[in-house]
Amino acid sequence: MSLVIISGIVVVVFIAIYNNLVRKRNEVENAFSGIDVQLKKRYDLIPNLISTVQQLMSHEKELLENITKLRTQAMSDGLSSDEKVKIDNQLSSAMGKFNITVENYPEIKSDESFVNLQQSFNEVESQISAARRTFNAAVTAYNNAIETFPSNLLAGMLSYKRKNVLEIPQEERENISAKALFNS
Amino acid sequence: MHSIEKLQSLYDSELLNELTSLEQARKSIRSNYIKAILAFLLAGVCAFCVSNEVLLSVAVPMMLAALAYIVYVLVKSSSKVKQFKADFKRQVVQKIIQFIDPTWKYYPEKAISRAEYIESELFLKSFDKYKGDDLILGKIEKTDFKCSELHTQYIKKTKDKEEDVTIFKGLFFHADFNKDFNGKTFISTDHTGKILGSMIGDFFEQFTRKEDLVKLENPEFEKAFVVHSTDQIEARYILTPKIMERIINFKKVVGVPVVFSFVGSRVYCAISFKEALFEPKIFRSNINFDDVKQMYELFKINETIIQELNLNTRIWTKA
Repeated sequence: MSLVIISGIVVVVFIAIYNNLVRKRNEVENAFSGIDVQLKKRYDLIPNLISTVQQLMSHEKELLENITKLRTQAMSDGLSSDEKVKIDNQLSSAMGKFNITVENYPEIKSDESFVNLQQSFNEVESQISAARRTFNAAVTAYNNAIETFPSNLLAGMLSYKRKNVLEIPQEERENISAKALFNS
Repeated sequence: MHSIEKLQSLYDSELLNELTSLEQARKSIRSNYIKAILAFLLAGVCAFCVSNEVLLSVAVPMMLAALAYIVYVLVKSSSKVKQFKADFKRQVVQKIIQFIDPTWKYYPEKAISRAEYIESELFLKSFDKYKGDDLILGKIEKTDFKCSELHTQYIKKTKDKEEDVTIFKGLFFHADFNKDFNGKTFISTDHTGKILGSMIGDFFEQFTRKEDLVKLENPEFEKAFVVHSTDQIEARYILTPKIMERIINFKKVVGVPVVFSFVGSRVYCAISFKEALFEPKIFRSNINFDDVKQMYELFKINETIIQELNLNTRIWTKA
């Protein structure tokens, strides 16, 4: 009788650990798709932003072309998560340069449609930052689960591997501020 | 903004006169209360005599007279107390509020509505008693806010008695966040983590609210608060690293338990205080700059929340 009870408890614990691991792995995937959604929003805004400024910023052709190129790359199908992150980081850096360059063009900064676009862009940047942090929290919970006892035993059997957290760019560690970025 | 030195000069030039003029009423109420206490003691002595059957002929009428006197004094004082409190609020509290910002509106008798309190979802326990006063409506730069003192209670029924249990007592505040939230996010004080340690605490924290637990990166914040939300990403969108630091800082400034919620397009904040706020003292003089300073600092909390949460910078935009 006692053997049956003990086996019963073992099975229940096994199921609970297994479900917890699967839930945590799914949460990581879900969190990554959260970033993806926000990144797509950002990509959708870029063409409008570029078309609004390109006439006035004809001297910055190279920078604008680079942004357009990176956007096209980022939107191409079949990219792995790592590739997506890499291109996105390059795009973030190019957009950072863009924002600094805009400072030299007061006529652009005072354009109402540009200001609205920048506000939307800033909003999406904050959302991306939040989505990245959500992803990292999900990855940390997942890594903790597969590396701590007793769930590590089952994770080993299921060959669950440790996942990497995303590097949060320095400027995102600070609060994204429309004022600081665009000084509008 | 206004400094303590300027408040001191307001106190010297205006408030001191007002407080001095209120002293007579306070002393008269206090003397009535002292008389009632003495009558109560006398009634107690008489009751002792009656129970021991000593001096019955004197003790019984004296006890009845003492009790009648207590009722008379208390009835007579109640209207005086009401008037005294109303005068104090009009002559002193209102002036402090207007000193901070003349555009703020002050309603001594009104409070944050029940609907607003429920809307915040800060306290899930339903209340049986709801009272409050000292409502302030105002705007700091672009951000409108509302704030009042509140006290909510529920009636706990046991076999042989009923008692009132406080759900919340203190300052209740809400302000425009300039953002329509899709989800709901709640920041409460972390009790379980403190008692049980972070790992076991996390386990129990999941069940303190029905929304999902949100684990954040700031260890100091995680130690002081527990966050629940219906939307993990939105919770982090609101609670940026800087906002987390500011909330920690705010908690240090007020030095008492504080909880927040982000619902609809507003931020709600409830700051717990044990004592009643913005009320005059009866048994000691109110001619005291420290009391005025304390009220001033409590009203300034409105400004501190808005500044700390960076609500005026409008980094968030309404869709």
